[in-house]
Amino acid sequence: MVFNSFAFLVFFPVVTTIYFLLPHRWRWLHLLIASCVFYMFFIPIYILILVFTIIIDYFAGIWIDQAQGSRRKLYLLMSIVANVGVLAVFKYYNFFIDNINLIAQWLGMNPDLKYLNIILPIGLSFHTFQAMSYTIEIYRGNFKPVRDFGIYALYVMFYPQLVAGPIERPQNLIHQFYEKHELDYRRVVSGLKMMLLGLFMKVVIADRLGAYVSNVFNFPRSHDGEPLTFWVAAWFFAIQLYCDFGGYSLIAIGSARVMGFTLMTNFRRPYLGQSVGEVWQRWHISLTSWFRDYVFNPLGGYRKGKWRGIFNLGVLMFLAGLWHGANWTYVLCFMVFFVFLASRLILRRQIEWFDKKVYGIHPLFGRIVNTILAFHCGIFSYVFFRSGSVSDALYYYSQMFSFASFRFYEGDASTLWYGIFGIVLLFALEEWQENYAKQKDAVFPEPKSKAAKFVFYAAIITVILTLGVFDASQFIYFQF
Amino acid sequence: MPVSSSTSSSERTGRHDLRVLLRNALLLLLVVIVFDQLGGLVLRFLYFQQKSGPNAETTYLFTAMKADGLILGSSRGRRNYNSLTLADTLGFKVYNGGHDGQTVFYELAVVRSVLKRYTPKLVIIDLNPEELYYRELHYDRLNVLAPYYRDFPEVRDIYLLRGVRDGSWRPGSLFVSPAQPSNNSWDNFWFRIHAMEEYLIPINTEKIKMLSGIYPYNSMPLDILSGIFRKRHSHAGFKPLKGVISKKKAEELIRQNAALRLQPGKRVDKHKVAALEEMITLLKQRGVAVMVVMSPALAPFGMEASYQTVLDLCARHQIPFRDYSQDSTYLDLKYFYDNHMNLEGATLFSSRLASDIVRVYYPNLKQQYGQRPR
Repeated sequence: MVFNSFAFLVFFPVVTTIYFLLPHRWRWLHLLIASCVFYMFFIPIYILILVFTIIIDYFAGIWIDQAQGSRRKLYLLMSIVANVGVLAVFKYYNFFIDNINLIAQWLGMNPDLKYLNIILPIGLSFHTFQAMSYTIEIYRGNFKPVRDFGIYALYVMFYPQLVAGPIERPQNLIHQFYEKHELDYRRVVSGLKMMLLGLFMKVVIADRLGAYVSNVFNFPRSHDGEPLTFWVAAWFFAIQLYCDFGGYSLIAIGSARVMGFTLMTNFRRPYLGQSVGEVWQRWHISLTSWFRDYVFNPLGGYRKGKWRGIFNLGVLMFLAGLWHGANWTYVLCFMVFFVFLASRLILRRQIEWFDKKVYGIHPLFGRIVNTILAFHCGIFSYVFFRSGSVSDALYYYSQMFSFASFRFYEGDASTLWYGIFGIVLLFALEEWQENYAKQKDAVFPEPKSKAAKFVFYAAIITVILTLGVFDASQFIYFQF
Repeated sequence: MPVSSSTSSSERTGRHDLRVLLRNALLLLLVVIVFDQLGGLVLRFLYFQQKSGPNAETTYLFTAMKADGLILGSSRGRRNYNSLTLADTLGFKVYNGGHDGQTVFYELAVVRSVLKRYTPKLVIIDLNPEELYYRELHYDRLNVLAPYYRDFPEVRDIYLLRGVRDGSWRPGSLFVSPAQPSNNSWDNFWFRIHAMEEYLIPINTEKIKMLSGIYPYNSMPLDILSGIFRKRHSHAGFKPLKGVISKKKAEELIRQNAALRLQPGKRVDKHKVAALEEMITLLKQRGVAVMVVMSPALAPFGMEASYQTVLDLCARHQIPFRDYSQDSTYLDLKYFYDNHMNLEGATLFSSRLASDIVRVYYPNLKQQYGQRPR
């Protein structure tokens, strides 16, 4: 089920109302059933994949906790192999075959290995990583396994974050299923505000810009000789990606909050970051922290010197790229980002000198320049992310810098102008949240009077109704 | 199992919060409904003030157009048929009612509203060889009919197909039966995307959405303002394209189209077939000369099930069908702007089509109705 669908408009209030009406002891079961229904809205049979990994990890968790010595590692390995195995079959098998065939052809052989004709289950990488964090934390001794199978299943399947995160840790989420949440007006309203902003980001901005972006990225050669078109589509894609995924995360966190659950923050206004490092720290926080905790730090992080740190960062970025999808474009996207991050580490002195200069002119000037530069570092990597193939991405880059003409593909005028309208509103709002809001987690700068508040929120809903795209389109990150 | 940590005071707070929440939610809902209905009224008023552009042309087709000859089609219909050239040869007024991005659903809506007002003499239905395949996009694009939903009853059940898609329904009903693309009912549920939604919420959500005042004008404010303030001329509905496609772009276009042809899972859309059949039946019942034409295309289409369905339908209703889509006369870049013909191509094609009509397909048409004042 997608959050921007009519089905969710029915599902969410029904599930939330029943949740609060039920006695506490039955709520977990209600949420589990609701989460199964939510997941089965995609392709029902794929629920079996989740059942398989849940059973394996549930028992692996208990066995790791009970075992001693090398057996602990063995059970952890079993859990990781099962999870990665599911990913390997459903997500990476065709990619693997593709590369084998390519290498074989290059060597003059023709193995003609067959592809699997399957649709990728939604959110596979998200719940697989969440399940792995459970067994890893037990192995590390940071968490005791849960004995209630239903609660563990709910940890993996909790519907707000089931298909696109945030990727939770057992320490943060599982204890919340045992706590009784009374209906708390403030929490409910705060959750609903987050959901409203998330919906705005998705249907008014992301889906609107998506039409323009798809036209250019899907058919780059049709826009030959229009460098401005390629730049605009790249800018739009950067914002589309953020609004799509950031919007999803806000709806997920908001809908959990309404029921009294606290999920981790996934995006912290990334494009207001003043360096590429800051953008990275504010972007998809639940995934980057997963890789930090389970890959980067175990490899030694930055503790073993600068160059080893850079190597470790490279490994992290390579895996993060591969996590996103079975295509070299994703890996290259993250490797481009890695180059920018590594450059910051290598050229630290020069960057400090540059910062001193630009901030010296005026702090605001320095902020604007650095924010724009950081944003464009993102854009360069996203070209790989959105392109269908490496050759398409290279063609895209060549067109961006072709300086051929000032011709520009306007597309549908409404796409362009509604999109720009939404972007301006969003960035004004984020600037307010970042620098002017009195409360740290304030969502909107709402008026003080109660009547004005009603008008304010009704106006936002009206804007969404008027300018939103209501075709219940999938979220980009579902495919991961 | 979960351990309760509730206290009676927290439960009391919960009940109080619930009351406040329900009261405020109802108030907000009320304000939203007022905004929505008022906004809808304003947009409706502005929508029908448009003087030019596609929306104004649709309104014109639905309310005032009375040409003897009518072209129906998508953007290919709109760009490939020069109504003035056709009128010159045929001897009566021809209006091009093609609409960008539309298909037989929109055309059926035009036919129904036109026949309520008058009987045209000739209707040319432009189809592309793959027109009758199921495409989600064609259902999304039914939104152009949304502004007419309230005031034009003949449009309602066509618009509501937007909520039916590949399912089945009885016109007027709130309920929709799930799609059954496979003969195996197990596959139809367990292996199909969105099956759960169709089984659990088997309602036509568009019918509910149309209760909103604003929703019928969703995404339209800029188009409406542009239709009011910008003057865009057409030649009796015909929108000529000026310019010639480059060789490089033509090759790219052909490559892209070839890739599209290979898309798996194509199936003939039963709703489209029904719409085309109804259109032809209605026109024939009123004695209109109908002809189905496939106009020239630069990038070849696939000649598969959709094409055969059109052929069968025309044969069954005994109406002329002519496929110019791969006619070598027009396979020259100088006649094309993109996959649509440019002014030169459209004029040449229209003049030859007109002479084919009077010579071969409807030789009596000109004698009967020609030489009328234009």
